[in-house]
Amino acid sequence: MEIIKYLIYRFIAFIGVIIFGVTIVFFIPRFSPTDPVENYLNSILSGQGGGIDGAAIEEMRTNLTILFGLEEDYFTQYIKFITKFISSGDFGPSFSAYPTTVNSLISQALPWTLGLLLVSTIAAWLIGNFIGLIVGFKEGKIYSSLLEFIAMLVYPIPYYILGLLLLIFFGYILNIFPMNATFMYKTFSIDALIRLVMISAMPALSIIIISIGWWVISMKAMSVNTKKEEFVLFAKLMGIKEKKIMFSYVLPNSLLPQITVLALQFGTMFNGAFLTEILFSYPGLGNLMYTAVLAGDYNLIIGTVTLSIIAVATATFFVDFVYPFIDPRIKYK
Amino acid sequence: MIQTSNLSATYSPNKIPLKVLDNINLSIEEDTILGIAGESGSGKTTLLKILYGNIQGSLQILNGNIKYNINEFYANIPDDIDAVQKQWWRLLSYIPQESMSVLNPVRKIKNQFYDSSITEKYTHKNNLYLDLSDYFNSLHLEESILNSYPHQLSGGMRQRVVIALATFHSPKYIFADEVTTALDVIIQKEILLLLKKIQRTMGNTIVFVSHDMGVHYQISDKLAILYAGEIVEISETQKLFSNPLHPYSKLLIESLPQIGETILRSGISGNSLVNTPEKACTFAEKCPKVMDKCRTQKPSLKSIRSNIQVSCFLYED
Amino acid sequence: MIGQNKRLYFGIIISFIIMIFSLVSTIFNDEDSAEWYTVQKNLEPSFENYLGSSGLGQDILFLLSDSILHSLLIGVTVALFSTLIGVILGILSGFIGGVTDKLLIFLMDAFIAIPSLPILILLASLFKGDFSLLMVCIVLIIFNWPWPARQARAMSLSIKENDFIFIALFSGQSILNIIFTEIFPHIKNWAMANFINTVLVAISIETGLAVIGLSSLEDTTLGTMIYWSLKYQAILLEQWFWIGSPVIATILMFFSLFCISTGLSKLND
Repeated sequence: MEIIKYLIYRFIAFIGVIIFGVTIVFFIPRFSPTDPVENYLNSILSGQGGGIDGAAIEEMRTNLTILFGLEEDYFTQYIKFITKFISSGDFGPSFSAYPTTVNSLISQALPWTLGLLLVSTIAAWLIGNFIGLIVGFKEGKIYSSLLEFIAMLVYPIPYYILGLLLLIFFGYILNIFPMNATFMYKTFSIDALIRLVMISAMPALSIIIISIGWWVISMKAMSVNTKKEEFVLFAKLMGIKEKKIMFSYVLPNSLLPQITVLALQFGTMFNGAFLTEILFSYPGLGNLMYTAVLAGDYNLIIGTVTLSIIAVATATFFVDFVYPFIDPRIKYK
Repeated sequence: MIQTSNLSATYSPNKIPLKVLDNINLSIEEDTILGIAGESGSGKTTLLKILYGNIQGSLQILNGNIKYNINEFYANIPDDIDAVQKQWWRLLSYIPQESMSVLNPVRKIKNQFYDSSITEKYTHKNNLYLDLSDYFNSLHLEESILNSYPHQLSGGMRQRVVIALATFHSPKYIFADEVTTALDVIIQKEILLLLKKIQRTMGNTIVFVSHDMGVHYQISDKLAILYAGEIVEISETQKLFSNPLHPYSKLLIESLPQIGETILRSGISGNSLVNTPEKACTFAEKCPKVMDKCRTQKPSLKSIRSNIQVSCFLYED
Repeated sequence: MIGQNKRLYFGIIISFIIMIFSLVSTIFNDEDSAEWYTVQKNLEPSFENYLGSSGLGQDILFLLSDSILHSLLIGVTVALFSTLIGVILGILSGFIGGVTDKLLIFLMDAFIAIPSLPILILLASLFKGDFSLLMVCIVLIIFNWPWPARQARAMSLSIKENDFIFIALFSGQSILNIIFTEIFPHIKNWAMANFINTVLVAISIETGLAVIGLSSLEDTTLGTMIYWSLKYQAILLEQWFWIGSPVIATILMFFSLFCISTGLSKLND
């Protein structure tokens, strides 16, 4: 029953965090010094070259104010916003791609981001922790120190810097992977699959390489500490084979905390993935947000920002939910 | 039989070698419980580790050797350390201090049994499981424990599980380090009775380290007293308690409270091998019967009567 | 000592060199290094311009120096304040408990689960040219205090359980005295490592923001330097000093700070 209570608490916290995040997203624009309506009008007018007359501008201003939901006082606006959000999750039309809705744009972009993140994160976590285990367990061996050194070299490099380097090297110099990531295929085919892999390769690689560095270092520290634990020392005295100790004694006890660590990292990884997407023009949520900002597409900005908050919060709390069922120390209580 | 000859060992925690054991001459026979007593820092845990063959890190053998002769297994430390280590959980086993935390938290108890070389003797895991549950029952442990995780068991249960782990495969020599220290008196008594029962039933040898003289009184057949890394007296437990020869043994035994006493107990301040000069008795500074000879020469272990050995100038005539 | 902790010393030396270098422009250059066309553009390295000049007519050496300086200032400011605020709130949360604790935990969870970059991007889009570095710092502080706070809270919880604090209290030590003699030694080691990590994170995020052109347009940072070089096709024009120097400087800075961080935690063992 303890577990049920825990799950309920975490779920309430989850909803709370999302509402908190959405509230922030709601209020930030309203406290900005610039009026988003004026901003948007200015960017349209400067683009059109002033060929619109005064009355039309006024009409646009009124319409935009209504569309942006800015005509009533804050409280009413907020209630409207929340109810619209909860009931339909509709963010309205995109201004730069009118009349395509924000939701449809997001639903096209989201799978790309999810795919990239999931694959990169899981691959990096698995590979990184495995290497980290070896580095920590076989501390002192040459290959162990070498691997650790490489990880240390790679880890501090920011994602986009590595992305830049990969872009220059594999894209510009070697010309293996495409330098821009346009994807024209509408239906599934082998060509589409190949293209998908080609444009995903460099973004995924930059995320994976750096994340691996991080996991290797943290898992190494974890394994080294676990190795000193009483139960590992006793296992040695029991004459249990080294391989068994590494995989059944050190690994599980070091890996479980790493799952918790993973939950805390989602925000950071998302940040990194976003920048990588923008750098490679990868058709995901990050890139969508960026183009929205450049175009001043207010609805799209709100939509993408809100969704990224939901995505990260969901991932974080998902691990919270699942963890008690994985750790035997908690599962059997 | 396990026999040490002039065994000395050093330990270097800060790169400076410190002598922790000096000139240990000990015979450990079969089918007996040998107690090793002494205060903290006397070197008893180190001696136990070395006897088990657990010599690593900065622990090193300086002098002497240990000869093993068990059921056609012959080996010699320091030459054949590997051979001795291969006997871990076969002819030899070890019960550590702090038995509370020596079990793998994420592994079921039965799996920890399966992990050791015990499984080699079985073709089917089921048979091993059946034997295990029989053994557990004989130790008054429920079979369900085999399928539990350590955190689901109480401290006393875990202690007994560790004892079961160390004794199930009928080793010939069991090295037990301060097994009862962390327990309350009642559980302590149960564990001691358990160990004694196992020894009497299986006919093996338990080398039992403890600073608690009361515990030795209850369980050890023979008792070796360790002071500052040297053996000062070895004798049958009963004889030692009724008539301790070495001044240190005397102080130790007199320090045991008796029911109905009103005298205030005084502690014996300890000493380590590091502080005493090479050519003096390590107990000289604290000895109530110290003589001039004691400060300039070192006594050695000598047999006084049958089965009694003392290292003291008082008995050297 | 040196032999045992080569990592730490290596990190300190490199960071020190970088810090000295960051002051070069402030000391030796009277003009604004970021101002366009102060120097003839696209010059090769020479004795007048040691690293040459950029495609926007800036002396690269001075520009790099100022960029490093500003990035470092951002990192240190954010780390300082978020650590300060975080540790205070964390200790409060742990010791006071109750509703305060629950509220603070919620806030910590929230700012950890909400990614900072989208919020920064949102702000950047609203403030456009007026998005000052100060604002970036403030937002980063708001998103970073939970990390030291969590650890400070965990530590104060375990201290609460620990008897030695009560013994100290009962034996007459004043609270301030206790904090310094009993608690501080435990905290200071991970606090240092934490501080440096926050510096890294802060610089990393601001640089990230800058590389995509959304950071302050007023002051130059490593990120904005990279941004402008990319925007003016430094890769295609093979202007390796212009784009290479900030990239290498960033890598070096991160690596050396990281060495200090791990070197410090090695000291603990």
